[in-house]
Amino acid sequence: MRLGVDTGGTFTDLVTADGRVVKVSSTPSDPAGAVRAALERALGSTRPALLAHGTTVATNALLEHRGGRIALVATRGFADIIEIARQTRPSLYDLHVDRPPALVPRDLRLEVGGRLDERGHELEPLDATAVPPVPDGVDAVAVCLLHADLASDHERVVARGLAARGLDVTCSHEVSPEFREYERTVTTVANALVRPACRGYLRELAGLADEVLVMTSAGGLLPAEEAAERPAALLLSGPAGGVRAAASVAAACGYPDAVSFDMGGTSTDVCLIRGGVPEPAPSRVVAGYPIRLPALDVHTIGAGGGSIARLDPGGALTVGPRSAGAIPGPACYGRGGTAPTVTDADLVLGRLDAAATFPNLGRLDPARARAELDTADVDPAGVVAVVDAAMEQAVRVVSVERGVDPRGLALVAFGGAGPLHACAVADGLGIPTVIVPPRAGALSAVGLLASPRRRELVRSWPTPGDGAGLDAARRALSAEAAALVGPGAVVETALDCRYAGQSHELTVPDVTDFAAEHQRRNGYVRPDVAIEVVTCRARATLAAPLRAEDLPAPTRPTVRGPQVVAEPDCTVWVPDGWTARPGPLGAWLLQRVGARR
Amino acid sequence: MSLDAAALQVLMARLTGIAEEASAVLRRAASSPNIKERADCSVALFTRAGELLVQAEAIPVHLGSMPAAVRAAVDAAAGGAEPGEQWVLNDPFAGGTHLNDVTLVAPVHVAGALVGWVANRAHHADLGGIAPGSMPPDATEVYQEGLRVPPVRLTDDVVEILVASSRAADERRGDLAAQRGANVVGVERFAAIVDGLGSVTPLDEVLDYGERRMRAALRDLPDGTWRFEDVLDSAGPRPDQQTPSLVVVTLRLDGDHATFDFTGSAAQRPGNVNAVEAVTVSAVAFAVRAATDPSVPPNGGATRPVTVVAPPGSVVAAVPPVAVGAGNVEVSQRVADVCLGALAAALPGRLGAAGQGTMNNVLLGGSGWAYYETLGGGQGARPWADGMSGVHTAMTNTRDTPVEALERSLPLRVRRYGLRSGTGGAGAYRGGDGIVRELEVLEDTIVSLVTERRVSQPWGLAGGSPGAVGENWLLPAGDESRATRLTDKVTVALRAGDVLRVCTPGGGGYGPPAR
Repeated sequence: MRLGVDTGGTFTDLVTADGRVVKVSSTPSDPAGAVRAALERALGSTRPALLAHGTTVATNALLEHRGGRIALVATRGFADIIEIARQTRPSLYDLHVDRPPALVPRDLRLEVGGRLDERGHELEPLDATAVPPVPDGVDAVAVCLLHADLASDHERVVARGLAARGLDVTCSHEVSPEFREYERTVTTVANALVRPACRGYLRELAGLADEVLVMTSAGGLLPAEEAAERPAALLLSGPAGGVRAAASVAAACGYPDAVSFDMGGTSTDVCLIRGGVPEPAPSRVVAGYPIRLPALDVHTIGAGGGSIARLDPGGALTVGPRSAGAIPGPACYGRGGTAPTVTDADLVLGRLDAAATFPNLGRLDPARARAELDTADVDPAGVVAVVDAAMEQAVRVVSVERGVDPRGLALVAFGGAGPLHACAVADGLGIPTVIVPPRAGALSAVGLLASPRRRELVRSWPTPGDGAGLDAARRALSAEAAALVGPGAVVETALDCRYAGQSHELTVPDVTDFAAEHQRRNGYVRPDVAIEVVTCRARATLAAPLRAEDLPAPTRPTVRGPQVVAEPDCTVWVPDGWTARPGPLGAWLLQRVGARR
Repeated sequence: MSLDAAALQVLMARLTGIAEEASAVLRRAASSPNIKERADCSVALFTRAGELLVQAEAIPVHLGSMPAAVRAAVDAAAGGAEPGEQWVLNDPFAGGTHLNDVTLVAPVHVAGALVGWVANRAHHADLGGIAPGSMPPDATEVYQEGLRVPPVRLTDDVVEILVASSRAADERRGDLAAQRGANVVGVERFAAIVDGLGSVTPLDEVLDYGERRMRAALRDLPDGTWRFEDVLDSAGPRPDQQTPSLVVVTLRLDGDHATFDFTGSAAQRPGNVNAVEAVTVSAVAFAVRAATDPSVPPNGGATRPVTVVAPPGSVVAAVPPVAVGAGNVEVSQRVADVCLGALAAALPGRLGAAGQGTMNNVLLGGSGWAYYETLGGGQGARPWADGMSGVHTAMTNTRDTPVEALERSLPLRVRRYGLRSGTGGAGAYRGGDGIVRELEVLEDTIVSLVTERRVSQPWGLAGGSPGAVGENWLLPAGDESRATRLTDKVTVALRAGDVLRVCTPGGGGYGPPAR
C-alpha cells in the first residue's frame, strides 16, 4: 500500500492509495508518534510499501532555533553580513518590531583569509592552516565564502580541515550555489541548524515503510536519506502538497490556470497555477530568514477562520492579525475562547452546520458565538465581508500583480475555511468557477502521493556576457541531476537571464525565451540591449507515486445555493446564486448561475 | 456616515490593493537597480482635492511629501486635466523634494468627471548636474544639481529632455516608462472602484476615519510644550561650510491636536544641506506615527490634527535658489531626530535614543556608469531593548547591494563589510553598532559623499551614552599608512586601486549603564 501522510500544526492527515482518509491529532513533541498512530489506524500492522510525507520538523527546528549552536566561517571582513542582512528594518514605523536575531551570534562568527574575484579567480590564496579554532560546544559549522558559487575550492579546503576536527560541516556551494552572499549564508546556516533534528526524525521514519519520500518546498519528493542531509529544502514544504493536488484536480476539471486557496485557522495560502504547474519561486522567507532554494510561489496572509474581529478606535471593523488559534479557538468551540472570530461569524450566518459533528471538536455552539459577536459589537456579515476582502487582495497579489487576469482562472478551495469563503472571493475578483476537490480537508496528504520525485540543481554562470561553453555546462548539469533521481528521469534545464545592467533575473527555458517572458512579466522588451545569463538550472523529475485520477471519485450531488454542505472533512458554503455540480474526479464545480445581489 | 464599519474597512483594503498593485508594476517594469532592487519608490492615491488616500509604503521620506507634488500638479492642471494625461515634476520648490525624486501625477476620471489622482515617485540615479548622482556635495545652488522640471504635462518630448539630461540615459527611459505604466494601472483600477461606489463621498469618509484615528491617538498624549534641538554638522565641503546649523522644534500637544514649530532653526545656507518644507512635513509625519500608533492609516485625514510651522528661508523650509540635494536624505533625518526627541520628552518610556541620523550617501561614477548606495548604521536603544546594528533608521529603508552583485556588475571591489563593534552608545540598553564598508575602485572613479554625524554624536536618552560618530577615509592604493580622513561632504577623484572606507555612526544608548 502507498500512503501520503501530511503533518500539520493541529492534525496529521493520511490518505491511502485507495482513497481512505485518516485524521489524527499531531504530536509536536514527538512528531513520529502521530505518523505511527495514523499508519496503525489505516493499515493495522501491515507495513506500507511507500510513505510520501510532508513534515514541519525542519520548519519548527528553525523557528525554535533548535538544533544547537552553529558557527559560521566567512571570508575575512565579511562575517557580520549574517547580522547586517540587507540593512533594512522589518517595520518602517513600529519601534517594537525587530529583525529576527542573527542565526549565528557574533562570538561564533569566524573569518578566514583568501579571496576570490567576481569571476571566481583567486585574488588571495586561502591559508588552510589559518582556519581559526571553533569555540567549544559548537554542534555544526556553516562555511560561506565570497564568490564560492563560482569556485568551491576554498570552501572545500576549509570544510576538510573542520571535518578533520570531527565537526559537522555544511558548505554554501553545496546548499545554494547562487550569488548574493547574505541569502546564501542564511540558507547554508539554516541547513546546518535544522540538520540534527531532521536526521533523527527522518531516520526514525525510515523504519516505517519500505520506501519513504519527503516533500520539498518546491513540491517534489526526495528520498528521506537525502532530505536528511539537505533539510533546508523542506523549510517551506508545508503548503506544497495542497498546491500540487489543487493543480492536478483543476487541470483534470479543464482549468489548467487556477489559484489555490487554502484558508486555515490562522493563515491563508494562495498560489498561482499556470498550465497545470504551480508558479515556482527561487527563494522565500521563513520567519524573516530568506531561504534561497526552489519553492512554490505561495503568498501567505495572517488571516483565517480563527482571526479575531473587533472595532478599532476609529470605528472600522478589523479582522486579525490576532488569532484565537486552535486553543482556545473560536468562541463557538466552547473551549474558553472569548473573542469573536471569522468562524463564529460563519456559524451565526448559517454557513457552518450547527448540527454537524467536527473532528476532535464535536458540535459547535452558535449561542456562544452570537454572544461574543454581540459583546464586541461586530456584525457577523461585516466580519465575513472584511475577511473576504483580505482574501481577495491575497489572490490579487498572486494574479493581477503578476500580470495575470483572474477572470480567466478557477479558484481551488480547500483547508478548513477555504470552501466557506471561496465563492465570495471569486465574486469579488470576477472569477467564474470555484473548484472544491474531493477530500478537500486532507488535500495536502493527497498532494504528497500525487507529486513527482524531483531534484533541482543550480550553478552560477561565471561570465554573464559570454555564453561560450554554456551548452556543455547545461548538459553536464542535466546529467548530474538525472543521475541523482535515477533511471527514467526527465530533465529540464532553465537559465536565469537579465538585460545587461539589470539587477533582477527571470528564469526561462532558454535565452531565446527571455524577451517574451520579459514582455509578459515586466511589460516591455529592450531589443538593443544584450541578454546576460547568470545562473543555470536543471530539474530531473520522475513520475509521482500516484496520479490524482487514480484515487476513487466520491459521489457528490448537485447543490443549488444558498446551501451549506457538511462533508466528513470539510464544509462547503454554496451562496445564493451559485450552484455546485459534480465534475471530474469527484470534484465540485461551483458556478454562479444567478445575478449578483 | 454612509459606510458601515465593514464597508469602510473593505474600501480601504481595496484602495490599498490598488496602490500596491501599481507599485508592483513600477518595480517590475523599472530598469534601474535603485527602483527594482532597493525599491526607492512609492505610489499613492489622492482625492479630487489632492488629499492623500492611501500609499504603498516603501520609504518614509516619500510619505507626507507626496501631497505637495499632487497639489503642484493640480495647480498646473488648472486649465483642465484630460483622461490619459500625466504631469511630471522634480522641482523641489514646486512639489518635489530633491531633483532625483521624479513624480508623475495622473488624473482619474469617471464618466468624464474628475474623481481623484494617482501619483508615483521614484528616485532616479542621475539627472545630470556637476557630479554623477545629481547630489553634488559642493553645489550651492539648485542649478548645479541637475535638471529641474516644474510641473508640466508629460509628453514624449518631455521624456526626451529627462533622458538627455542623464548620465545613464537608457535607465531613465526605462524608469520613466515604468512610472507612466504604473499610473495607467492605478488610474484604471481607481476609476473602477469609484464607479462601483457611485460617488466620491466614501473617499472622504476614509479621510475622516484617518482623522478620527489620529485624534484618538493624540488624545492619549499628555498636554504640554517641549523643545528639542540638534545640529546638522555642515552645509558642504568648504571650510566656511564646515560649521553646524541648528535644527530646533517646539512641540505643543493640546488635546487631540499637535503642533511642530521649527521657529528658531538656522537660516538656509549656500550648500545642499537644506530641506524644502515638504521634506520637513514628511519627517514630522514619520515621528508622529512612530510615537503614537503605527496602525493609524497614513492618509490626509490623519495629518489634519497636526500642524507644521516651518519658517520660509530656514534650513527646514528652503526657498530658491539654494541647493537641496541633501535635504531629502540628511536634513530629513535630523528633523525626525528632533521631533522624536521632543516626543520622547513628552512620553517617557515610549521612544528610544537617537539612531545613526544619516543615510551615508555614497555616489560613484566612472566611464559610462553611475552608482548610488546608502548605508545603514546603529539604531537607537529602545526603553525595552538594544538598538539593532547595521540597519537603516528613520526616513529611509532601502536595501543594500550585495557584495557579489556589486562586484559582478561594476568595476568595484568590496574589501570589508562589517559591524563597528562597540560604536553603539552604552546604557541599560545599548545603541546598535554602525557599519564599516570599504570599496576599492578598479578604475579611475569620481566619488561624492553626503554624510552627517561625523562631528555631532547620536544622542543617548535617559542617561544612556551617545553613539560613536561616523568616519570617512581615503586609503590611497589601499595603503593604511597613508589613510586620509575625508570631510563629511566631499567629492574626490579616486585612482584605480584607491580604497574608500565609510564608517557609519552607532545609535545612542538608553538608560544609565549598569556600571
